[in-house]
Amino acid sequence: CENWLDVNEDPNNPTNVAPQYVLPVAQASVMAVTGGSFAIIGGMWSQHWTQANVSTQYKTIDSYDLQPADYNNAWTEMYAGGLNDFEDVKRKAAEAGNNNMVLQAVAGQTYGFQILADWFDKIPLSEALQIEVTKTPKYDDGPAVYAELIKRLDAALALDFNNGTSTQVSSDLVFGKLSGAEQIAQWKRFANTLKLKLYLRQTSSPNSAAALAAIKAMLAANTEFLTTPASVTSFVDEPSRSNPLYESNVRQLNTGTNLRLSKTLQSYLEANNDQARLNAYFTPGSSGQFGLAQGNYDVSTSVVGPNVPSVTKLSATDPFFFFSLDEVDFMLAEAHLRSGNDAQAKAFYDKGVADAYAKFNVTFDASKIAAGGVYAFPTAGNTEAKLKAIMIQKWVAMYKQGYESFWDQARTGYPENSPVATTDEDYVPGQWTYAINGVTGKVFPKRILYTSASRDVNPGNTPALAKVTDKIWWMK
Amino acid sequence: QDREVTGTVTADDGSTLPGVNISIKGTTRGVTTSLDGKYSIAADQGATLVYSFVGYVTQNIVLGNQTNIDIKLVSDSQQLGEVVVTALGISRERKSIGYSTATVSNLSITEGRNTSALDALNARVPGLSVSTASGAPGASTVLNIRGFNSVTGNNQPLYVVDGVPMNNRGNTSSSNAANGNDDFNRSMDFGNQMNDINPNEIESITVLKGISASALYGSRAANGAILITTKKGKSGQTTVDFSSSFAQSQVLRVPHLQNTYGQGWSGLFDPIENGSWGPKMDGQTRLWGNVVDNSQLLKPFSAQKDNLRDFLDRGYEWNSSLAVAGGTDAANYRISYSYADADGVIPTNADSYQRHTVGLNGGLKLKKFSANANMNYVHKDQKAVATGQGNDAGAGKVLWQEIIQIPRDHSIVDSKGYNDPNNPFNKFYSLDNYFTPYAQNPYWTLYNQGNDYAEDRIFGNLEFKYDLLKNLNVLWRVGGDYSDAFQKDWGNVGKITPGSPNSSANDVFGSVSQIARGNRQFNSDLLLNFNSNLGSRIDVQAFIGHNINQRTAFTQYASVTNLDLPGFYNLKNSSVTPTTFTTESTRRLVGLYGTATFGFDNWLYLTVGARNDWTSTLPKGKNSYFYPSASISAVLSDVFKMPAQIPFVKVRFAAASAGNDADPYQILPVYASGSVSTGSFGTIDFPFGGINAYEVANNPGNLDLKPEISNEYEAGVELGFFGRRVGIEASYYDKVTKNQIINLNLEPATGYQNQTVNLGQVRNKGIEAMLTLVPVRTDKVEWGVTFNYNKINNKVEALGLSDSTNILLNSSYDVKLRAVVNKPLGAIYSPDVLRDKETGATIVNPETGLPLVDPNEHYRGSINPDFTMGIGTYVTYKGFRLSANADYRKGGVFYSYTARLNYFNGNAYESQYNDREPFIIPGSVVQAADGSLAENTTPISRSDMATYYGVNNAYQYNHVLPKTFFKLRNVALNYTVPKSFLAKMPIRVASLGIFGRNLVMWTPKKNHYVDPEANTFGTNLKNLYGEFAAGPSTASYGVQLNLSF
Repeated sequence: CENWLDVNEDPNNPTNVAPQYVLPVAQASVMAVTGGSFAIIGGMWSQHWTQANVSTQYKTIDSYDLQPADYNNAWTEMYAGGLNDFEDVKRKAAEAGNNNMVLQAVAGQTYGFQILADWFDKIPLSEALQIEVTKTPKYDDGPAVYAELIKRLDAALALDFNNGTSTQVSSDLVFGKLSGAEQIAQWKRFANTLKLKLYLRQTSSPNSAAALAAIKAMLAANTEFLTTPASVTSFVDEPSRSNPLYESNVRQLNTGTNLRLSKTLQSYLEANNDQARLNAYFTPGSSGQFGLAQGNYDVSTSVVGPNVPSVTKLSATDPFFFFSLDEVDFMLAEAHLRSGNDAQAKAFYDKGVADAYAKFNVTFDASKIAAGGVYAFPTAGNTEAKLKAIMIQKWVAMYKQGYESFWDQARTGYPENSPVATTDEDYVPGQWTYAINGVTGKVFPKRILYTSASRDVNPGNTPALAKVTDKIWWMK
Repeated sequence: QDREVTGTVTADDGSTLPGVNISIKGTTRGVTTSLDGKYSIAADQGATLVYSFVGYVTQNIVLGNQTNIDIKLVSDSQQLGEVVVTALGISRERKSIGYSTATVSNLSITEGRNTSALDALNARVPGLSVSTASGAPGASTVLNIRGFNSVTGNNQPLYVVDGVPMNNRGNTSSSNAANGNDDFNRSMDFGNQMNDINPNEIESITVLKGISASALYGSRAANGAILITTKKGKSGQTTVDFSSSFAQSQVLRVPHLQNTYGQGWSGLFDPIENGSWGPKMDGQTRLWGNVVDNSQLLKPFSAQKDNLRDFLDRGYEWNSSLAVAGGTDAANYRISYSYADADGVIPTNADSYQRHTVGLNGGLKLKKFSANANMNYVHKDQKAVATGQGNDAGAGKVLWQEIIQIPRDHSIVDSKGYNDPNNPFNKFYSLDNYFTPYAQNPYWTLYNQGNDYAEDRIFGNLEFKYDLLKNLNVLWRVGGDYSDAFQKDWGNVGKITPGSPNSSANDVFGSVSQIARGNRQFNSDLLLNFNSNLGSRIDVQAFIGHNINQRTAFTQYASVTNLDLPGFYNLKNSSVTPTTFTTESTRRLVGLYGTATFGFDNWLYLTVGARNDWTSTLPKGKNSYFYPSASISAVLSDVFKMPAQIPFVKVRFAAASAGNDADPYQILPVYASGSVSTGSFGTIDFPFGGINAYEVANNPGNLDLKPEISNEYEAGVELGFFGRRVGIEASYYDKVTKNQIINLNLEPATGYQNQTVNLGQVRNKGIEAMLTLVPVRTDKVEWGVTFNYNKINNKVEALGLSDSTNILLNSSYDVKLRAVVNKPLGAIYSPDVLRDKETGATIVNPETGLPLVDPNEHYRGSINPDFTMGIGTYVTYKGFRLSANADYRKGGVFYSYTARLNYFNGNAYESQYNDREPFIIPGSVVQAADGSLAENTTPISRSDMATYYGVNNAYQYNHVLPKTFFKLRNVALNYTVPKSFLAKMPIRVASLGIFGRNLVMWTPKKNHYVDPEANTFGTNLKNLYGEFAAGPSTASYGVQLNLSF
């Protein structure tokens, strides 16, 4: 009788899966959330694009009117969809002695934790992903999260990759086509680049001195950073296999044209005669390239027709970048600048601008960065002017990766916030304007709210409701 | 001195009634009528003869000096039968039963000619709630007995046909097929399986309300049981019964919308907007829609008040059945066939239903051995119009959403011309040129989508009985329920020409999906029955039994999108990777049970019972659970001398417990096929880039899972006055369900989303009362009234977590359905405007005057009614019978997306405040950075009106509507042709009549939009959250004819 009742093993799902079959879906989770919902808010809050005046999808983002439930899906997919899978891979790969795969899992997981930490400030880390220990993990403070993430990267980088079992992982979505040795080298570069990003993030924080010292030490030690993009390119133009931004903003929405050109970005590119990039980023509207003032989604269609504002150019097969090459260039330009090596800063700046054009397949006119060119590095200027130049070029380049320039701006102040609207004659092209329908009393947003997905089931630990204008710990 | 009394018992239709019980009141003596309805019994003068038969009103005759008494028994629509069917198909005397049951006769089930027998139960049984998802033919019916007990588990009763449990799979099918039936995406309702039974073949339906009544069925009847007894052949004359009805249906409720403002946005006319935020309609001729080939349409700017009704058709419904039955003393048979054909109110046959049923029943009775076999076959074809949220990447938009987005000054029917080459305006209605890019021509949606649902089902049972001894018999009943369903759903490609006026609208990529589903249920009961009189004053009726139950199911699903050839709906018609999955499941259960009823002096009855189950779905070693039950019934009027006006008084008390197991595969952790969310819309699925992957599943399993246990106490009284022309039955119960098997949401940072755990406690206390009156009963006229009342006090008492007090069950646009401690199960919460805590003043955005949103949720009410009432009445006069029943449900709330979308696009009746001129929210304030408050002076601008009503999160509560309603469910007038008239014809009985269903619905003013019973999502508790662009409900009226040969 007991045997007859022994039919409760799920025939529909496997109970044990080798880690190489889990790794790619872990990477995909972090990619999909970062390149999906975070790319949408990132591009909006860094004023690359704005909500169309003919639809409503992202009005609450564009007016800074976030609710605790808005990012439940992102929170859930990251933690219960991606970071937990990385944890599973870490454990099983460590048991198998494949330190290549351990490094990949640590790097990918840390990248995901960093994205969450920068949107939410405090996040569960030390007690996260251990359901056998606690179902109500505590939230760790921002600085502690950063310290722990760097510690984890260091530990993974210090693993023995010549132990004979650190074999090639062909299911890796980023570097899976490389040989085992090349793959290990690239993931080390990835981890180092991520470390550099974490240090750069802290340059305006109470922890800035230590961060600066660490940056200098990394450069002094000739640490190897990425020299090729860390990207996922295997998208095809079909449902559920496309670039996450295209999939979530175009294919699966009943209005595919919610994201329109922001006047902020348009004004900057046009002021610098950069129609080439404008045309690479946006499909012109019925009267040519037309940007809506940031957040001006309520303007009547009898004033601005539905087909007038330019629409974001998104493709199903756009790559997703964990790091794009221009991004690494600009990070290194900033790192060298902060380390006092202005020549290297200029070199990486120039390379960054060129790589940014290349990223969007736009022919680069080198005269733009030559002396006297519109984007020339301000060699004669002070450090602040140089930092501003790097940050503004990075902002223009981080199209579709807008969260990075949003965070850069919150830490460096560049591009600057405009005291006036784009229509004002004193408006400086490229300066960020407070959204026309903003609900935060002229204070720019800084963060996403702690989620109701967490508060509903972990109320004892979820921090008190934050305001959308509350700064992340490292923000200026 | 005993003397012999003889006579014939006939039914009200003139046929003789075999098997009628005739007993002498106060004694154990009794006889039954023979095949031709004749009887003979010895009795004293002055004795009371009691004539009772299932489905008929019992009659008492005080014996005078007659020696011949012919009795005509009246069919009982008032559930006062003296013999009732109890668990496991055991018939027992009503008076011996210590708990509440109700029996609904065939007459009540068929009088309104419902295609679904379950729908016919509406408002007839106190404590039984019946909800029909929509007016579409074949729509789901959700039954709930005595309130919701289980937070995330099953709340539906167990269905049993002739002693064998049945499957009742819901066939709500959404585009998110892997998730089953609970999301807001495009979904179709193909009904639930228990709606497949032909109502004409049902002899009676008995509702076992409490656990005491149903516990012997085990775990699965913890929510009560619905016992369906089908008709059997009777010995005697062969009869042929034919009945047929035809009805027309029409829409019952379309949203009541404003008719003042026309097309536009922000207060200005706009020829291409999908809303009515324009100026006041002035009747002036205006150009509207897109400019096509330098031309544009013209029409007066005036309201099209009936544009929704004009769009809808009249539907129809045919129901016919034919049955042949007969038998001898030793054998009987019944063969039946029925056909139902219905087409709903949406143009075309996009909502239609056809059902064939065949029933074969035969019995054999030898000296000690009897056998009975019952086989039923059902074939069903159905088409349903999708509801919920559309999907341009797949099958496309959803009809109701497109219809709601039509401005008040537009005709809908004109758009039909899009594919008519002879319509001179057809080009204006094409996808490229339809008046707005924000919505689709609903006729295009209708004509380019469709589905087919086909199901074959066989169910039946074999029963063998052998008398071992005089008082002891053994019975083996084995039954099965096997169904295979096949569903295909499609939507055409709809490409919009670049450069055309609507080029900012999305292309629709088209899709085809196919699902095959099967359910198999096997059930065996072996029963040992014992009946005896222990001495003259005590009798015993007892049995022990053994039960084996196995349920298996499978699903196979395949779908493609991005169709290449338009209009060709085949899985091969695409170059993209198909989405596929298959699932299979098996669950098994073994039970041992027993019960004994001791009767003392025929007035006091004590029943004790117990059952132990072993289930496959709980962890090994923890999968056995035991639960007892006991009840007492005392017919006080048989012991104490009562006034003549009160001939019947019975009190009863019951206590019982029932265990319930989990769904299969909740114990062990697994990996799931890789699929990740982008955090907003859309997913990335594996295989991806040529790589397959599995992820750690969202549920970590639970090796400590225990059964959930329900305990119930019940007390009741049954009274009869004035020759039992007044009957009162009332029950009070208190039921608590503990250790609930709940799929608990987890903090995602644990790495998991949910876990199946034992948590929480839900209590239902309730009062059920039923009053039966026969104010007039003469030879020619009888008038009867029944009135029932049901009040349930439902409360979540604990959720077992120290740090969490609620569970999210469903949500849409931040309106949430939750289980919250100290609230009724199914509490609805929504955002609110931010208010000053002290004065309650609305705090607004100083820039716009629009209210700010309070980040805290506010309780809006529960999905449970405060109380429900049903009223039924009938009048018979000569051959005429007029009957009606109605119900009133008071209280409760539900979510309406139809309301939301109408608010959004300015069609809502309520959006006319202040003539839509700019206004300052009365009493509103603004808050400075230091927290200080000042009077608000910023009016909401015209251009913000749509935001105020339609987009602002603060007013989501406007979409939570009261669930209160009154419905006139059935009205029927039947005429039975007098026997004398038929004497020379081969027809034995003939009747004809007219009927109407849902002719009247009333809802309170706050609900201008939809039928509160409407639901988009399926048959679980969480699906009763509300509707998401659900279709309208319908009213029907028709004629019927019944002939017996």
